[in-house]
Amino acid sequence: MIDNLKIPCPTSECNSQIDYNVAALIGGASFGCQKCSAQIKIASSSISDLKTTYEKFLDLKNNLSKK
Amino acid sequence: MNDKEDFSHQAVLIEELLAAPFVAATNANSKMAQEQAKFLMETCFDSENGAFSPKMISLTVKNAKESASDQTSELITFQLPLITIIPFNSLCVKDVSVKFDLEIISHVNTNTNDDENEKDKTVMRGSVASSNDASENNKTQRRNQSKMSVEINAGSIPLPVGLTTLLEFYTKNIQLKS
Repeated sequence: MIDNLKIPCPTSECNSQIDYNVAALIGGASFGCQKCSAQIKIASSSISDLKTTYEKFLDLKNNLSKK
Repeated sequence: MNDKEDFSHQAVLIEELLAAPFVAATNANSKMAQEQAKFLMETCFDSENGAFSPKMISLTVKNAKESASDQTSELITFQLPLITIIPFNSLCVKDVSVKFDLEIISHVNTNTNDDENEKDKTVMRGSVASSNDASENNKTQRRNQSKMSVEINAGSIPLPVGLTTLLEFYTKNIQLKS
């Protein structure tokens, strides 16, 4: 399972990528941009949505692997 | 029922016998793709009047601005589609390895015409051969022990181009809001 992903840095004119891990993101971790030092973190209002979707996604993958 | 009749019941066309494991693998792939697509549409999109819009989640970005004398930081909330955060990949059957001994049970020439120019058509029927180690005297047991070894390896393949394009479009359009 590839959980380490990249997201474009939202800071204007940075054009860099921020590495993040979904499970850690749900856990409240921050991830920094190597270029501009901006740090991203999930908003508390969205943790539940992301957690639910991610768990469903893992269930789906496990179910498909078993079939 | 004698042995000959028993064999003929198990006999299938050779091409069907050879294709069966691969058809099964293709069907499995199709089912997995359908379930993944269904998941994607149900969990990552909102549907209203037949139109789909991506579910959004909020992230905060702390933008550190450093200067020689002052260090300030501002907290900005931005939204991005949920679909861009989940590590999607396409799960599928990558390799199918089938191994079995084929037993030809019937061999029929279907050309009933006397025309010599017409090409002969042969229909062969067979079944998975019984394992060699079974007792020669017990044919029922031998047939029950017929074995087809199928090895299936599941793996990830690149996402469909359409989904990749969608993800690329979304990730390049992160919405910043104050």
